[in-house]
Parts: sequence; structure tokens; C-alpha cells
Amino acid sequence: MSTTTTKTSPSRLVISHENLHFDYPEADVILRSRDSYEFRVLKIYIIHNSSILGEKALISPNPQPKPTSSTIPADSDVDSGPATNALPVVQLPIEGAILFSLLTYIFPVPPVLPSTVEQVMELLSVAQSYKMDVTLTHIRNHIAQQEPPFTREGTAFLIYSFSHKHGLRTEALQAARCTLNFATLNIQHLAEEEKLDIIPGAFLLELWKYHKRVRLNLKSDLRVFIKSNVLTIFGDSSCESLTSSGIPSWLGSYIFNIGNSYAPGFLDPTDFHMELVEHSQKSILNGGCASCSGISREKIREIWGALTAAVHNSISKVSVTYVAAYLKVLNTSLD
Amino acid sequence: MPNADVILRSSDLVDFHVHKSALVASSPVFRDMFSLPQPPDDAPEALPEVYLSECANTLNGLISFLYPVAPEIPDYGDDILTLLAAATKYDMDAVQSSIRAGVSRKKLLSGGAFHVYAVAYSKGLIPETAIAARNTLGYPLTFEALGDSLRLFEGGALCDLTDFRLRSIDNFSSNLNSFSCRAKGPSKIWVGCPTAKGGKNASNLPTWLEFLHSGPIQARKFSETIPTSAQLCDRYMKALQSHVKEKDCNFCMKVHTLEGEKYCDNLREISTPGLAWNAPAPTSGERPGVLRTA
Repeated sequence: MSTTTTKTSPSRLVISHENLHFDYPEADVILRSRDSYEFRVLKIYIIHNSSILGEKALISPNPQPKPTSSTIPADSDVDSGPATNALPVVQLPIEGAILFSLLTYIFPVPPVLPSTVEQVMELLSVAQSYKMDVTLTHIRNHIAQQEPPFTREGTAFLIYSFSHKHGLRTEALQAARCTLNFATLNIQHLAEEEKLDIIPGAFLLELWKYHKRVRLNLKSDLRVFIKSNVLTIFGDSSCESLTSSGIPSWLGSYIFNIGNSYAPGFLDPTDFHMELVEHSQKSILNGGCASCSGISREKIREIWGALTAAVHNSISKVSVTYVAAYLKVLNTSLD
Repeated sequence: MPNADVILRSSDLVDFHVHKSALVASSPVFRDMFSLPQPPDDAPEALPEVYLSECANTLNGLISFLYPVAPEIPDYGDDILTLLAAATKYDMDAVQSSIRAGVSRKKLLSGGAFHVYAVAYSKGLIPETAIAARNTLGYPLTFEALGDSLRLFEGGALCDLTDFRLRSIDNFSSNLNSFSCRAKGPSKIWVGCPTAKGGKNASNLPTWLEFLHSGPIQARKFSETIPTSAQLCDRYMKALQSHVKEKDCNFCMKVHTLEGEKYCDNLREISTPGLAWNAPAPTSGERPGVLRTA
């Protein structure tokens, strides 16, 4: 876990990621995590960010007589001074690391994302459960800036699973879409990749159904795309082998097969060019296909741009079905 | 029950008036429960009540095994597994044995191999998980075959099933290789077939025996199934008949007449599911883990 020790205006605010220290000047409430970390903060920020959490802060019980430092362990050398000892305490069912991170998105300090995928998902879940819309957007924007991307081949299945577990539709959809870029869902393949133990069966079933819907939708949308956009861009082709729609067969076949391909979300321009080259060479041996070998670069770029846009539009129309049971559990877990 | 001294209340609030002695005799859990000192009762004349998490149907089935009445075994696989899980939970060994003895495999698996496997796994029922896991080998292990049963797979259930599938394929493959060994395996009886590569003196097996190697075994594919004993024998008969008809091979016909029955028996053993199964003894406090290698 990296350490971020920051002093920002106002100057007495001190946060430290390493020992989960968060001590806001003129704090008027203590937020206590499930694992007994205490964070001294200003109610006004909490109220402004979440009516649910704000309400908890407003009705929090009275002053704690016990003199403590702002964080545990108890022998911490941080002394927050006698004035902080009489603050009301709000006990929250959130782990210290998550609560600390959440506060960095609420207060004017550098935001700190938790270190593991699971914790990040928990952070999003907490922000969502307390209806912190602005904070949630702030966290999501921060996640979107991560390099390497937060949702990628190595994390997509895990994020998909945690998204379902924590009731995060946006992340579930992002992760499900990401899996389209590198995988055909197949039990044997998932077993070989050791992914089966990270996704419960119910979630896996929904992911498989999502992949099926995407492929079905893609096939239908690309059929329309072939008949309308491709014809418009290509105009009349004099290729020796045309489909019934009037476009070169190699192109029709390439587009048609996207819906059946190993990873329908990943379009590789090299494959596209290879199809064109293969067709042209084959045709040249038979006397040449002047029409296809003479397609201009601009036209190829145009058709490629339109194709990728059509594929992404088609994929974006499909949503992930949610496993409702977990949402019910979630709705009650933070009460 | 007349003279009952305790009330068992089901999760759906049905009361069963029973005898502590019957519960204590068959369940160490109840024995321990009733041996604990009870708090003084406000209404001493009322029978003590024990709230249980099982539904009335399950409790009814369970209690029927404790008294000299006809035991009530449910008709459906899931209900049978629920009853078994309750008997396991209360450590009722004799009741578990009686249920298992009274239920046919067909009835138990009536819900479908994958469904029964997932339910049995989730309830920690090791013998039923093993039976169902073996039964799944007759189906492809694919999303299509699993269907909505996949929803019931919890924890490591699917992971363990894929491990088991791979081990079963390996086991079958190894058995098959031994079986097909022209020097030592049962298939050596076919050496001498004049249609074999190199003729009758070449010590090669005839090509019609290649039926043995079709299927998922080489590629370890989950989309195919491991042939059952019956399927293997059927393949053998078809391949032999076709060979004899095509090549008019008196050698193979004679070998079949003399040793075909024994050969079929040996062939059946290749696919005996027990060979591929090695369930570890359950460890207290752990999830079933029944499909891990011992």
C-alpha cells in the first residue's frame, strides 16, 4: 500500500494512507470503521455528499469521554489534542481502508484508490449504497484514468463477479463488455484459465447469456450494416465475386463472421487487410480483381471506421441481466 | 404423538409433538441439545419448543424415520437431498443410511445430473455429489448442457467438476491405452488378423479396433462425453460386424466367438466410473471438496 502523507489547506489536515490516518481540522464528528479505525471529519462534508450518511452523523450519539488518538492502533503517536475527545461517534459497517479511501473522495485531498480490485469494488458499492452520486462519479472518473486500465483482460472476470456481488451495474456491464475483447465463453477454456473459481455459477450464466445476446444482436445489426452502409460507401462494385447484396464476397463474409468470431468485441484491422490481400491475390491468379485491388486507402479507412462503429453500437445496445438476489442482500447490508 | 415431551417447530411454523428419547437415540446433536441445562420455564406445564430451520415437509420425513411407521421419502430429487441434508446436519447416521437404501439412483437423479450435482454439492452430501458427478460424464460439460442448473453452482462446485472431468478423461485414456496394448492388453487377441497392417504375421492390431480411440479422449474436450460401458460394447459390436462383413474376416469372427464375451467384459471395465473416482474422506468443518484428488 503506497503512502500518501499530505498536508493541504487548511494546514492542519493530515492524512496518511499507511496507517489510515485522517484528521480534519475543526472536526465535529468521528467516523468509526468496522475494524475500529477512527476518522475525524467535518459533518458538513458528509451531509453534503450523502443524505443517508449525513443523517447518521446528525443523530450520532454523544461525546466519547475516552481520550484517544485519531487512529488505531492505540499507541499511535499522533496526538489530535484534547479538543477532539468529545466528538460524537458514528459507527459504520465499513472497513477502515475503504472508509479512508471514501473520505479522500469527499474531502479536498488527493484521492486514494484502495489497493485491490475487491476493495475498489467495495468502495464503489459503499458510495452507491449511501447514494453519494457526486462521489461515485468522482471515483469512477479516477478509476477511468488508471494505467493500466482497471478493467482489462487480467481483471475483467474478477470485476464482473464483484460487480454482481456489490450491485454495481455500470462496472458489471463494463467488465462484461471487456470480456468480449478476448474470450469466447467456454467452460473448458475458463477452467484452463482458472477463472471458474472466481465467478459463482449464477453470474457466469448471466455472462454467457450476455455473450449470446451480443452475438445475436451483432449478426442482426451487421446484416443491416452490409445492406445499407457498406453499399453506400462502396457504391457499385465490379468485383468478380459479389454477394446477393452486391458487395464483394470476401467483405461480406468477413463482416458476417464477426458475430461468430472468438472475441467479437475485438476487431483487428490486420485481419481485415489480410482478407482483402488474400482475395486480391487469389483473384490475380485467376486474372485479377481490378475492383478490389484498386480500393483506395480512404475507402478502406472509411469502411473500417463505419464497421467498428457499427460493432460498438451494436454491443452497447445489449445490457447485462442482473442477479436480483444479491441486490436484496446489499440493500440491507449497510443499514 | 401421545405422551410427547417436546415440540419441534418447523421454519414454516408447523408443530411436531415428539419424544425427546426418539430424537436423542438417533441424533447426537439432539442428545447434546437436551443434555444442556434448560432455563426455568414461565409455564412449566407447557412442552418445550425447539425451533428448527427445516420446513414441515422435511421434518415430517425426518421424524417418520424415528418411529415404527412407514418412512416418508419424498418423490423428487431435490426434496430427497434436502431430507438427507437435514439427517446429515443432525448426525442421524441410521436415518441417512435408511434414506440412501430406500432411494433408487434413478429417482435421485431425476432432476438431471448437473442439477443434482449442484444441489448435493451445496448441501455437502458427498455420496450423492459423487454419484451425480459420475453421471455428468455422460453429458458434454458446456454452457448449453448445464443450462439454468449453472445458477445452482456455488463455491468451487464447477471448478471441482471440471477437475473431475479432466481426471476422468485422463483415467479413461490411460485405461484405454493399457487395453489397446497389442503386447499385454486384452486387445492382443486380435493380433493375427490378416487385414492388419503388415498381414497376419506383423503383430499389429486390425484397423477396425480404432473405434476405441474415437471421442474426447485425445483432445480432452468437454464438449464430448466419455463413452459408457454399454456404448463401448455397442461400438465394438458395430465395428466388428462392419469389419467381418467388409473383409469377410474369419479370423476376427472366430476370435469373437471364442473370446468376444470376455473381451466385452474387459471393455466394460475401462469405463467403470468408480475407476475415475477417488473421493477423499470428508473433513469436519470443510466444504465438501468431494472431487479433489485424495
